[in-house]
Amino acid sequence: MEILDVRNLTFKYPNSDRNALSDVSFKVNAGDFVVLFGETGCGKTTLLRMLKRELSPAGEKSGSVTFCGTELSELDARTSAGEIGFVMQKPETQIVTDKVWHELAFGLESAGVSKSAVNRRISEMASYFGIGNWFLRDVSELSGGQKQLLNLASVMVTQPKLLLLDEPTSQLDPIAASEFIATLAKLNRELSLTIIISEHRLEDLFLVADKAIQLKDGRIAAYDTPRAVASRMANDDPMEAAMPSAVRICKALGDDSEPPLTVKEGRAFIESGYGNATRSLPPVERVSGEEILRFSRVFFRYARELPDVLNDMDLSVRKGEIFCILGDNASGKTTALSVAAGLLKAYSGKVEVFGKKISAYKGGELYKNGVAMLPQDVQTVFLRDTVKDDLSEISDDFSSLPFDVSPYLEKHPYDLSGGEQQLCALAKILLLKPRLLLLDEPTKGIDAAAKRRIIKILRDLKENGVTILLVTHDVEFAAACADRCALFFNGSVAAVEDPETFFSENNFYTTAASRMSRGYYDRAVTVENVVKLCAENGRKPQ
Amino acid sequence: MTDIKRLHPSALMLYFITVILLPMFVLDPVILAFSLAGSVLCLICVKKSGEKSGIWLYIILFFGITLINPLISHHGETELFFINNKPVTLEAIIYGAVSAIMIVGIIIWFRSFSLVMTGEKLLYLTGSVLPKSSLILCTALRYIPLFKQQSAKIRNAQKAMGLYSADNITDKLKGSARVFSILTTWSLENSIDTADSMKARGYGLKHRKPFSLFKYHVSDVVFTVIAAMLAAGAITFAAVGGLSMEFYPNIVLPTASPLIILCYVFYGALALLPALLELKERIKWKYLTSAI
Repeated sequence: MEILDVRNLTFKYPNSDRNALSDVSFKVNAGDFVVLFGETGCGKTTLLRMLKRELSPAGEKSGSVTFCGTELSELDARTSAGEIGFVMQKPETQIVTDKVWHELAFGLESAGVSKSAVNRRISEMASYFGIGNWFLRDVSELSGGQKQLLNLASVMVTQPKLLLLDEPTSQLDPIAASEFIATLAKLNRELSLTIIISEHRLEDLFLVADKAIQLKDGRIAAYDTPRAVASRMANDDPMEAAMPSAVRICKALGDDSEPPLTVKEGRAFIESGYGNATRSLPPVERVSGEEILRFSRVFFRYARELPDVLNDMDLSVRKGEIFCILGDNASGKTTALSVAAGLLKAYSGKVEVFGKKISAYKGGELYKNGVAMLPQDVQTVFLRDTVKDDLSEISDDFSSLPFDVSPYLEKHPYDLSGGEQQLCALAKILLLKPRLLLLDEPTKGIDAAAKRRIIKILRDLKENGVTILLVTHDVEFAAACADRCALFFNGSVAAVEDPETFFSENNFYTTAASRMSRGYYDRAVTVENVVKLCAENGRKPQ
Repeated sequence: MTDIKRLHPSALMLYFITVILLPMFVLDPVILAFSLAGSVLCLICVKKSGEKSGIWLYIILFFGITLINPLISHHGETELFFINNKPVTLEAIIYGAVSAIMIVGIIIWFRSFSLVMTGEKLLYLTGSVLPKSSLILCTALRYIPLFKQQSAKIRNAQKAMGLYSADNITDKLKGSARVFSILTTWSLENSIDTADSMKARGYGLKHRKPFSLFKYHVSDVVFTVIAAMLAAGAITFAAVGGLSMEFYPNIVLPTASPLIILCYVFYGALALLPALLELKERIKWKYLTSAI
């Protein structure tokens, strides 16, 4: 039975000359898990919001949306609020109250449910989602992943039949994101909850979804099973970069057969289709200059009674390299970066930048053509009403930038998309002409196209002699751009190696491409590596 | 009956109001002694071990008030000595000491009050009177840590670009103004999300029912009835028995009529109620542990 029927939905925002959605029609069966994807600005958020009456934007609308046989606008207010759940992108801002238990109860309070029923439902929900341990806490004490789980649980208390999620994992680290998606899959499986989710990262979602919808410029470009959608996708489609690694390998090799989705299928695809006479690619030549940043025996803690966050940390970053620090959430990676940026002071040990002790730099001296840091939350870089004003705080000469920011100059920084915001923030930092660039999670919350662009920019900067130290969770990103990688663990870095060695020797902290090809090819850690090797070896005779 | 922290917020509120009522209006040494003793014992019961009691502050406050009064007030018959040709009288010193005990006692009651009545409980109480304002307060409480965090993040981001951190005051002020202005924009942006999230979860539907984790137990009823009876008794006996003490021109202690003694007994029981509860609890645990 279909739970949702969208017919010829067209929508235009006021003051806009083009349709945000054009003639969108699709049906969703009860119990389906649907993933909605497309480039930034293709209308994903608009479409999801059109399916939730309370959040539908104002504008010119035609066509119809029917939920369980009733037109959305004719739904009873209580049904509409309770039976269609909506989870948004930012974990922080959709939390309304200050306590976890109160947040869980919020939707039921609104519905006027009796106290004993509220009590039962939130207790049940808290134990199902494993919230029991932090039930009485302040929401400000929770991690991003916990916050998003709380948002999901507080929507689930009203027992919705349809759950809409707008990029819910884009602000989470990959581990928390996988857990979140696993929870969704469990809800779908155990409660036959209908789910429509939009997302940039499709690696996990394509495996659990029943259907995938691709939106392109406000129109539906494809609506089928994930495998079929992947199979029909053109090689030059901008969304190809967001596909699971197995799909990308298959497509890059020009194989028209049904693409593999999982690591297991990907491995079978490579081993059955391609030879391995040549097992590895020639090693990458990497040159590095003198030491630019050096940590020796650095200790740091936030307060005397708290444990060490940096614990006997040694680090050496050389001129002209891209150095990636990978590691768990809250392991202290950001702290290490802040120490290198002079924002935090180590209580013991020596930090040297350009051969000089960091404490010897007075005033803003360290930041004048020296060190610059791009924080994780790039919004914090902006202070002014237009991007132009913001950039002018540093310099009026935008010609030196390695990329073009002119389309964004007159806009308010907060009106840009995640990827655009990041580009402009990076522009502001680069106007400082830093020699050492520190980046904190540069791929957080941006789509695959923006990620590709950032990789290219970092490589260009490296060519121009800029040294880059970045911390990230994103293994695919690190494998694609790093010269050296290190694992941050227990307050210091372990295992500093080139990315080929690093990722081919890690079992879990590694890329899907590496997991697919290890044992068959050596030191192939990116999709490009694997594709190159497959192409070199050629197809096995059938 | 249970430990005082576990009582229902309304029971607690009632208790703290009644227990400070009498000492605030009657300057009587016995009542004040009970109030001070009760407040100190209550504070010991409710404060976590290791938390500072701030005892020195109270002692300084006590002596400060005691000594300041005779310097200001020169009433009273018993002149002890002269400062600047103004008499310092025994009555004024005693009046100072008695008021100091009153003030210190009430301050200590308030301290226990602030430890016991967490934000949640106060919010619950405001919520039962003004549900909408209480929810606004609740979202505001949620926003304060967020706002602080974001402000620190923005400052750090600017510092790491070498902006607004020079030792130049105008530059710093300009920086602070800009940070504040962007923070306002940021809050507005985010509050749109929060408002959406509220709307999406049915805020604004009719018949909203505020929920709380607090339950009204039999023990709360018992506590409330006992506290109310003790307080009502103490106040009535004080009023009927004419409980009052005179300081000027000379000290007249209240006469110990049966009514006044009853008033002392009732108030004493009221003031020591938290300590008695705690004592009962400890004895219970002692037997429990020995049984285990």
